[in-house]
Amino acid sequence: MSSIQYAPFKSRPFYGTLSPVSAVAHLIVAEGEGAAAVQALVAAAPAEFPGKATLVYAEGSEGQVNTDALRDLGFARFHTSATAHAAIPRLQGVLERLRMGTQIYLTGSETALSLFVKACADAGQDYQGLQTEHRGSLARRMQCVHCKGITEGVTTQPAECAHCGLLLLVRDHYSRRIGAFQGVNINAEDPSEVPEKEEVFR
Amino acid sequence: MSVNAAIDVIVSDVVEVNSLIKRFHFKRADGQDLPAFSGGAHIVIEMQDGDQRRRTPYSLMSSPFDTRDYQVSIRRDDNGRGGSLYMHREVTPGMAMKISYPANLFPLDLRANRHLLIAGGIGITPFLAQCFQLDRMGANYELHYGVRSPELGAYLEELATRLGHRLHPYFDDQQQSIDFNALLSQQPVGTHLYVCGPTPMIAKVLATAPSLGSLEAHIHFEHFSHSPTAYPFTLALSTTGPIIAIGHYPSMS
Repeated sequence: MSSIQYAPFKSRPFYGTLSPVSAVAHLIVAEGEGAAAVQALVAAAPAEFPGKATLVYAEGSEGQVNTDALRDLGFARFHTSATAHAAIPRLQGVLERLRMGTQIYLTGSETALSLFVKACADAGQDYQGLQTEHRGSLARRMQCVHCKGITEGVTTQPAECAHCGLLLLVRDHYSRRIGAFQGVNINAEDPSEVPEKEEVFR
Repeated sequence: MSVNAAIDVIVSDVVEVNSLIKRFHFKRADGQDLPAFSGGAHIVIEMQDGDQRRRTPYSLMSSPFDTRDYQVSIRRDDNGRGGSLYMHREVTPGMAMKISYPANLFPLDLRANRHLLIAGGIGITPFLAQCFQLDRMGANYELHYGVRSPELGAYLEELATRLGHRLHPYFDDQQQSIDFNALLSQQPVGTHLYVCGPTPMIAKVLATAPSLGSLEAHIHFEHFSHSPTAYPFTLALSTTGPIIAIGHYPSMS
């Protein structure tokens, strides 16, 4: 068996565990299984925490999440969307109205975190101040470095670019500006050589 | 930054801005344009003051889009190390001097969605250059500028014309001061904060910002007071033997 080896990369984001901090206000953005991280966050926080917090929740494709359980936590504002992508315009609107001094917490799948961190960066919020926690799928957003197309939901190594069809090595090299991992053609010298795909980003 | 790489310049103009501040204009001795710089950059001016050689950094205040000359504004500090006194007393138009290439330790963070500039006194100078840049970018910004009195508020009139409602002046002699708590708590997420002025003012902003949860990465500051001089020491050249005493001012170079 020849599994593909690739070196870890400095830009690959690492996520932590959400923990409540004292702040003027709180914004929580969660997707799918991130709901459990939100429940844990509220359980660890003082009683007045939800009253100062806005939750933007994307149900995601996992489907088993009880949105009502989150609603019952008593957030000052609560918005739901079907998917992380659908939540972005809502998140942008919320970010526009937030004041400096608001702590932002993000949780969900790798793809959802990529989208949420990028939306915050686009609103001028530095990634270093964000709290993040990974829950759920490791499927990646991938940018093809050749045609620049973004392929969503990449679970295999290598993976095909949905735009130009090249077979790409999915690297840990990550672009925060684009919110995607970089994919580089794996068989440029001999396109007839096709390495076997393995599902590595479940 | 290489302090030693120098550009030969001619002092092309010296303008008295008010009773404490003079503005110095430098043109390249060879008639070329000066190197490009970005708002917030400084140059180090080399001064041959008798047998003392001083190198003092000053923020560039002129437009980054016009490098035919560089302009710096220097406040006379009667208790300083002497650089400002030398500039005020000895430097006249036509004089040949050396300056370093520009370096920027106080740049704008272009990822910000909004820039909040806070100046105290002569700390206005890097912002004068940055405002040219922010205007050209069409950026969302505000300048809060604390001065002792309308008379001692350097460039207030020019700024009022250029910036309009973006300028917020505060006058000490009218008991006005910046309420940092109120100001910072009103800023939208994505705001970057830039502070330049006397040390107590910077300390006040830095003390207010964390209680509002402002991120370290969103706060930029530059002190506009000289750092304490180094302790004197002696230098022994071990192969040739002489021991040299290094005092407060001259450096080893």
